[in-house]
Amino acid sequence: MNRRQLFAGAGVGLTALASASVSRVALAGLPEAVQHTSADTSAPWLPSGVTGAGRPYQPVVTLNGWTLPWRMNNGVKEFHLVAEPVVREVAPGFLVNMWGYNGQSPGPTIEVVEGDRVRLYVTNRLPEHTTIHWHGQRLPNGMDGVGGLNQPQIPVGKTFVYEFVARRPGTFMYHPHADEMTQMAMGMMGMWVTHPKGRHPHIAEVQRDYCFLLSAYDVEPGSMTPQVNTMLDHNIWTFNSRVFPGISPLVARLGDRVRVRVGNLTMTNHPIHIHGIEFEVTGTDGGPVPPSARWPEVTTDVAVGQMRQIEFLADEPGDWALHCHKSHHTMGAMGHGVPTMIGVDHRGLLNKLQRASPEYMLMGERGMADMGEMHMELPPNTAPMMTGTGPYGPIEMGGMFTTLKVRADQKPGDHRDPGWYTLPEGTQAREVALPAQPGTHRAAPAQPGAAHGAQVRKPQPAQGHAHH
Amino acid sequence: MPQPVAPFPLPWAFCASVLLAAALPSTGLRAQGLPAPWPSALSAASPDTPVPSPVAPTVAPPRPTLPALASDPAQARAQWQRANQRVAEFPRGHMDVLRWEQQHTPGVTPPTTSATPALTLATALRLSLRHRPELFTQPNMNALERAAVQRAHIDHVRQLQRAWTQAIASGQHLQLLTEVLQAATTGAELGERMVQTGNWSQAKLLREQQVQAQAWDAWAQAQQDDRAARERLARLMGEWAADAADRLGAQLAGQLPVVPEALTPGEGLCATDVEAAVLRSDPTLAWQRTQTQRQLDAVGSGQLDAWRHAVDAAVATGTPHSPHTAPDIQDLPLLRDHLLARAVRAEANLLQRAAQRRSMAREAWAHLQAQHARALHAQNTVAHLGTQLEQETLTRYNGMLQSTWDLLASVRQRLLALDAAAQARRDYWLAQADWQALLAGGDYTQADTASTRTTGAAAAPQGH
Repeated sequence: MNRRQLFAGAGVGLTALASASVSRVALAGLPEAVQHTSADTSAPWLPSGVTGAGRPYQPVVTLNGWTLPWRMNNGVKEFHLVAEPVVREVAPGFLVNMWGYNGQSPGPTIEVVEGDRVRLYVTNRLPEHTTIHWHGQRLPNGMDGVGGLNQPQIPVGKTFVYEFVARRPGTFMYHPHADEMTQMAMGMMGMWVTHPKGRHPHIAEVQRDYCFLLSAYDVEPGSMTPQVNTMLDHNIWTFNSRVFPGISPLVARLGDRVRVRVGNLTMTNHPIHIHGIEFEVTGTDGGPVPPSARWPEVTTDVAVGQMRQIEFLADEPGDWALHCHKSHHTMGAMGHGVPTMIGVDHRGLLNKLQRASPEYMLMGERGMADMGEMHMELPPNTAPMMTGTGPYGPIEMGGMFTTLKVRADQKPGDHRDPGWYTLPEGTQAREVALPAQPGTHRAAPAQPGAAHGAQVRKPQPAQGHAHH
Repeated sequence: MPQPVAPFPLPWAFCASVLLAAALPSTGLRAQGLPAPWPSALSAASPDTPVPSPVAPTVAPPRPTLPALASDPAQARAQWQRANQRVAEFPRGHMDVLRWEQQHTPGVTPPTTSATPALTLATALRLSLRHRPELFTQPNMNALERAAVQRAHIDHVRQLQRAWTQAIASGQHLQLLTEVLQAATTGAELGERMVQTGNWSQAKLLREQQVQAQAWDAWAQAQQDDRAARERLARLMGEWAADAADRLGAQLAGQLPVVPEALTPGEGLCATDVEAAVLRSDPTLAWQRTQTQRQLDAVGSGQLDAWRHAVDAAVATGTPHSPHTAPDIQDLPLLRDHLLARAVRAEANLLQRAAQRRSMAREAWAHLQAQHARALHAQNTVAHLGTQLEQETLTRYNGMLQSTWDLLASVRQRLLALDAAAQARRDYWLAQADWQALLAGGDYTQADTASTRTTGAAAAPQGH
């Protein structure tokens, strides 16, 4: 499902610039600046032949992203990143102007093997200077990418080269360190995975390996560009610059060992929670965690600038929610100033409100569940606050929410969405029919619970707080 | 839907047709659906004539109340549970509440559209001339007398045109401010329920009640302005009965005629003809010019030059040193030349009259152009922006990005933008009345134009 537009690195954008320092001959020596135009999850990229120090690895799957291809040049893996303005489809019908790499935000995942010599060409097509900092990596000081401190910034239109050795296995990130807050607020970031060169005592073999970055934006509904001066009051919360229901599911075969690598380049922490299983934090961007130091979690809090690598056995079949546990991060844009309307009786006022505004509709007086189903006219280019439909009704989510789908019949290496899980008979929460009570709207009882031996208790009249 | 109103025709042809119509027997007027009975002056003057009680719809001023929070835990729990139960009675929300309202609110009868055609300006003028015998010309009048009657008639037409325009505009202004008041009242009522439930602090409710209070004040002023405008029109039309003003309100169109896209000074005129047309229309200027020419011819040019030298000399010596002292001419032979004195006076009067006519022409035409541009701007841009902004706010309300009160505030802003457009349209038609009077031979006074901008433009409440 890869749709890559290969275009010659020496092509369109660069020829318009003063080519004094980047001659055509020199440009002809750069690896192609591969562009990616889709927001779908690409299949992992694993080149045939030599991958590093001779050992094949389980390539990562970047949710709604892709892996940057390299070319081997005299034993050095060469990559070409292009820092440029991009438009990211954050959800179908919701486009955001961002700054990114090679056509998308986040940038492509860079995947190498411990000990690889890497050479990264970075071409700057932004309207201002930039750099790239390789978060968490050991490398020569001059390659660390802090503009002004370690290197002069990459001027507009120019190409710089970074060269170092991927010394430590683990998961890292990359992001600008020039006008850093603005450039990150505009979406510039990417993942970096270094596989161990041999069997590592603290790095297990896994059958599924996923990675994604957390990013947040403030996009005023009806507009397209993030507000970069917003310090903390963001409204678009994403996994890899995508929101629910546009985030791909993580799929696994029953019994797979699954690794998920989560990096956080937002301005706040995110407690990432997975339903149905427990996991361990097996690594950070500081390195792999020794097994004796790991502790069990169902939620791991990823602070700003941290990476948490978790692993678990996918031994529970089904569709399991995977999301940030800050509940406002699993919603689309909302009005923070809209008051609670719960419990406010509107009878007698509707005709007056409709006289003032004929298309007015009552909302919020019983909570917000209706919002998950209503399809009302929103400002253009605005994702709904709560949306998504599952097999049993509206899911009423947005933002940082996706699913982990575990299937017994998921083929190894197949990352495609298997559809909804078919629940085994009798394993779903269901209504218990009770005799009709005053004040309820129930029909006559049908006693389904009794079939499994469950007792249907007659409800007692409310006795205040006595039976709590 | 406003009743169609014929555009104002050319002044001369208009006045001719009015005079002709006034000469027709009353059956012609009845055939056009006009109130046939001739108003009785004797009944009007008698104190014993019964006065029907007025039936003006009124809105009582609001009496804001501040519900208190529940303090007792048991009472609070009961109240909170009851609030949740009450909204749960409508499980499908909006649709269920609408149905409940249809069943429980007494049916509101839609306002009956009157079968009688709207009171046109031509009809109002015809009625107003019934008791103005001094505005009719007769065969035994000489040219000067005829010109005086003509001037008086033009002034009457202008006053009637302005009163008719003001009456319609005040009615529209009142209608819009009534809707603003309704929106503000709805916001305050909903706010009271918010405080009762515990979802709002009293501070938020107080702000909505302030908006409501200001809206009522503006509405009350608009209602009075409307009443006054209709009374003025009734007076001019000779309608003396107590319910005449109310009947007028029902008979007038809902809004003024549409402002034409392109503005011309008059039929067959373009902008460069304006001064010439205004000079030509003055009933006595041409005669005055002829007279002055004769009197100047009767005096030799030598005498005229001598007079002019004497004037310049008197002004040059005296005025610069003591400007408050009148300049003095001592030349007795010059002063005793009666023909010269007469010619000088005639020339001075002619210059004053001609300069005045030209200046009035320029000023009135510029004023009309400015009001035309403002009226089009207000209807095409200001009102349009208000409507668009309300639409945007609605989509944001739909996405729970803005609240019901933000929506109501945008509704009020739209209504005020429509009001601005209506008042600008009124200003244009008032300027047209003044211009047409000038073009017909009447005068143009500064005082009238300034006063129009204050009446009916009462400060409208600014919602937040």
